[in-house]
Amino acid sequence: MSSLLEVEDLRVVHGDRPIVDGVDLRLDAGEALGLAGESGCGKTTTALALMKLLPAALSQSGAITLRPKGAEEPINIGRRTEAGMRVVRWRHVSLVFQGAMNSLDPVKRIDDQIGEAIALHAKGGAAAIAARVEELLDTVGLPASVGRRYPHQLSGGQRQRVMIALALACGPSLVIADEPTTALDVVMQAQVLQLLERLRKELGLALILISHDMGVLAETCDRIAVMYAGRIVEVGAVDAVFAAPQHPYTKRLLDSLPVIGGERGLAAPIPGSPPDPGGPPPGCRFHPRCPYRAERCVIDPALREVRPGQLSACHYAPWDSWPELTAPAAGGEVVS
Amino acid sequence: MSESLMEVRDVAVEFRVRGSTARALDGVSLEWRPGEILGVVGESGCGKSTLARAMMALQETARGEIAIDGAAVGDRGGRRELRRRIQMIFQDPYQTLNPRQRVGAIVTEPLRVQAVDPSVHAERVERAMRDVGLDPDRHLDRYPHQLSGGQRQRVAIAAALVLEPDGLICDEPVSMLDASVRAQILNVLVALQKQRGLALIFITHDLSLAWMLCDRIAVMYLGRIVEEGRAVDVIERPQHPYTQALVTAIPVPAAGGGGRRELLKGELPDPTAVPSGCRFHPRCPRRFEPCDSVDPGLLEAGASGQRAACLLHDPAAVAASGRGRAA
Repeated sequence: MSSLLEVEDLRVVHGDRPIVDGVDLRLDAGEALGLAGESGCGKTTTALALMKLLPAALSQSGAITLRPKGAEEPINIGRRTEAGMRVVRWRHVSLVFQGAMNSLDPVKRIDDQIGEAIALHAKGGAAAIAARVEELLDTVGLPASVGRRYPHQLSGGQRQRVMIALALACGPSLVIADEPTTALDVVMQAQVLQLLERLRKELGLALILISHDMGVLAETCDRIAVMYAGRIVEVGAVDAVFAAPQHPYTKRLLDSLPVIGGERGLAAPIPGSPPDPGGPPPGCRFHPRCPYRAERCVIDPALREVRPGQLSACHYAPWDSWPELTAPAAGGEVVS
Repeated sequence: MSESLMEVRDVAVEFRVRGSTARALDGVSLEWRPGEILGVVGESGCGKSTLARAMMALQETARGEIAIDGAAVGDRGGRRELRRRIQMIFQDPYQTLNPRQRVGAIVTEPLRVQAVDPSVHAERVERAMRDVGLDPDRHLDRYPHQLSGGQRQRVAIAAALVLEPDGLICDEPVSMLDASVRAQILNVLVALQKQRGLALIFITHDLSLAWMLCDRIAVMYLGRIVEEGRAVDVIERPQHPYTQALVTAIPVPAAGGGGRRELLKGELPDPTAVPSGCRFHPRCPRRFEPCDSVDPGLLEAGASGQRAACLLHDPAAVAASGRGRAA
């Protein structure tokens, strides 16, 4: 069976600076894929490229194929023009972006804003639209009375639910959510994540969830892709990656996270900071910061299957065990 | 000399909001011991940043006392002690570092303000820079915009350190930083606590971070401390239903995640309309008869030194309600 979304060799450049540098992704209908990585690794740029919403200064290449339910032919997003994308966005794939809850129109009532989104792609009279607005609010767990309010009268969590209702307005097959819970407190974050999970089950929605928070991804996703400096360095089933990471970057990232009930205390941090996209290091981009680096690391590694269903871009994978690391000097090391 | 570095006693802070009074802090008492890492956790709006500002005498209090080594910070003598011995860093170092000053000037500034003998400035600045993992030769002449987010936070910490304080209040010091940089900054702070005996207050919404780093934790809800105790006890065996709800909601970065769970309903109430009785009762899954009328103080609960503001820990209230104790 063919996938809902296939991305091949996606590249995004800013002048001659590669921001996303050869990303391959595949997503099945109803599946949730997590995209992990630190600021500047290219995860948001990847999301925007999938929707063809990049700012003018960035240009993208690569094949993006979407096979949504209700579409007769596969949609070749990579080749679509702006006009062609307008019938794809929100209808087949929609985006809930970071801080989006602050981008609701402050002078329009919630029901009018959701109604407009529905009217973009659906025909129907005012009564049909009003009924659909109410249905959408109910789907995201908001009372119909919220429709008559303005954004400033809602809490952050309620606004984020409205954004999700907007994303669902035209019945897409895929929702891309970029840090949807980052600005929310832990309880509200958990409520929104539970909502996304319920929507996936009830609507058969596929989800790409972008987050720097590995905990959020562990709880919500089926598979996870870890990005570093514009490339995917590891992909696999969430449980496999968390239980036995196969790339040193994933390993160190997971080691730095506290797991309550486990061992208390700080892990040795990853030294330095991610490379500037203008001049990534040769070979494996993580190697200057990698405690396990060896001679082959100056050669560019390919992302390859190292365990069933688990891919790593490390020459030395599979890693059945990780060598002990010595603790760094107290005070942290000097970074440039 | 008292045992605590700072002591907060029954402090209230009030704001006027559209004709009504919002109680940002409503009877908070807290002890911060020398060399201790104390966590103050809770959701946005619970009052944790207001507490920090009140402790730094940056926020007027409506009631109560805040003292450093027994001297009230509201008095001139206490204020002088406070400014010399306690420093604070914030979430976003970009907003607190003067963009037109070089790093050297930023880190020297507190010494000038406190009129420290100029002959020791260079040495103090260099020591502070090295303690936070910055190379003085490379970084003193840079401007904040030439630094990464992690480096800017290091500069903010260095500027707080030059006065060689006894305590550092950190308001969400790493919440804007990425995982790898976050771990570097936390390592710097913990090393300072170990090497210099610096006491730290960590104000954070991140319970797993507080669990990992802190000696003791105070959990705040709607302007009150609802639970306090040793960090391991409070997070691993919480005794207040609110703390239990917070801990349950933490996403777990491990295979299998946190699994299924019951989540707290609703949101933090408006601080101008604090519920009667226990302020958590409208959202509490375990409320019983007197919770809407009796305002519980902090009661002994769980481990030694652990206290929770919940009537479930008042045997008389539980017995009177005819409800079996379920702790």
